[in-house]
Amino acid sequence: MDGILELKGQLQKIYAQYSKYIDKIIQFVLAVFTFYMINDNIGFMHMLTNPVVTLGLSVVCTFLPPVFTVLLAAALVLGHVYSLSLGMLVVTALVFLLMFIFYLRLAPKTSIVVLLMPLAYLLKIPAVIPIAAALIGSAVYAVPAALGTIAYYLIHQIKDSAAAIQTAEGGNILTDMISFAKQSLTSKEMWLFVIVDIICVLTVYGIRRCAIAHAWKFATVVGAGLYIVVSAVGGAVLDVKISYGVWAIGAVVSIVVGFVLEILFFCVDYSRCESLQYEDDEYYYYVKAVPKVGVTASEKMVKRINRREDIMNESEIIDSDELRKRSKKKQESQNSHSNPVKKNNLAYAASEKNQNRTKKKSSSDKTNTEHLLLTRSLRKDLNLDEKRK
Amino acid sequence: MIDEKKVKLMTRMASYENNEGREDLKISAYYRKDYASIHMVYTIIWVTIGYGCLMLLIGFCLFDKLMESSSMSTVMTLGIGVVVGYFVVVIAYSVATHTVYSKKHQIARMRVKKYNHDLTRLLKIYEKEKR
Repeated sequence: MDGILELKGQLQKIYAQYSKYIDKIIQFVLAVFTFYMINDNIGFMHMLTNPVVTLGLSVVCTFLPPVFTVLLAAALVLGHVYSLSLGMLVVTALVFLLMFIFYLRLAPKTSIVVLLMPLAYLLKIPAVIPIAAALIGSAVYAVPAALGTIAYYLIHQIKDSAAAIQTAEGGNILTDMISFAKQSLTSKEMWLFVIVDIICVLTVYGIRRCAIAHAWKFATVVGAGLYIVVSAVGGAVLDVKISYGVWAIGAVVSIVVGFVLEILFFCVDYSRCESLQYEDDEYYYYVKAVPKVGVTASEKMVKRINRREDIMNESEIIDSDELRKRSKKKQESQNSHSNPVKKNNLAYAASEKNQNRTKKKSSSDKTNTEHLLLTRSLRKDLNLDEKRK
Repeated sequence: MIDEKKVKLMTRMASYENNEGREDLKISAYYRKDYASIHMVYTIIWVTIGYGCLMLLIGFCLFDKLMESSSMSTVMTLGIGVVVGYFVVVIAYSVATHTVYSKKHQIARMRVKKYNHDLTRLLKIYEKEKR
């Protein structure tokens, strides 16, 4: 667990350092996946399916807020539908307009969920997004999750009814509109999963907010279980065919994702939980305090206490005899320093010697000059200089 | 000499100006009532368009049934239902919009007040430096 927490700390550090670039990369990848998914499923207009167009749109979306990715994705869908049928285009445009007017206009920050939901359906893990959104966000995320489900089933319906519309000759716009609206908006499967998403988000959010131990884990497991149970019961009641095996795998993946999110966003130690009770003038307080778990990534620092460049390197061959000599010298010097009285005496003696030496030196200088002067005067008196000449 | 206090203050202010400050300063140019009312008007327009779209889609889905039962009483009942539904949706959205935008204005004003406080502190520091 410590290793995971340390990794979390490192990831947080990296994200804090490069968040600007990481966010842009995620946005770009999300846009590429979204546009690729749309082109792959309903790529009826060949000009728009060109990879250069996909990449260009993705680059544009990278530098704009996420809501623009949603708007461009909607525009791309409308472009493909336009090449298919004008009647279908009207119905699709009306559905997207409704989504924008009643929700996305008011909460553009949650638009990312609308994008992620169809991608999750394609990856056969639709339970992941409502559970993750309820764990990280709030109960409001039920709306974008439901809208994402509607968007996915709309694209799915366009794909299904494309063949029928292409083969029909002389199709009227009004009949196209009526038939497509009926097929897409009265889909039992779509409404079933809209309800399942809403129930799942509200339940997971409700449990996650409870003051119980391991609330996040409990909420994740209950959410995944509820997703399967409600969809199965609903499928049986409404006579909708659901592949339970794939849905079960999706639920397992959503549990794993929920646990990972718990480690990342809500890491607490329930074993050190404290229950406090106190009061003021108006209330009694029953407080449950759960400590957070945080392991900061250890930084390896090499601190050199005694750095001497002239000292032997690690790769140097050590001469044992020389070492012994050095240690002996060291010991001797230590012994000399060890006896303080002796040391004082020695120091006193040394200072006396120095004084004597200076005295001697000064006296010898004096005597020398006197001697010189004397010899010169003697020489003069005895006429020695003249004799030499 | 670099004044640490001044640098901290200026960094905080610059960060605010570049992020939330842009919108907050625009919002705080309005009174709270005016700001909420303007958005309520926008919402009513948008909801009217949206409600029209919704009715159109429902109309497409129930086209056959509507054609079958084209008696006067049914049309009247449907018409009243549509109008009542419209008013219910408009009122609900207007109330929600008023609440949301009033709170938004309140929060923005608080942040702008804090920003103004920082600004006066910075001015005082400059005045001290001049002396």
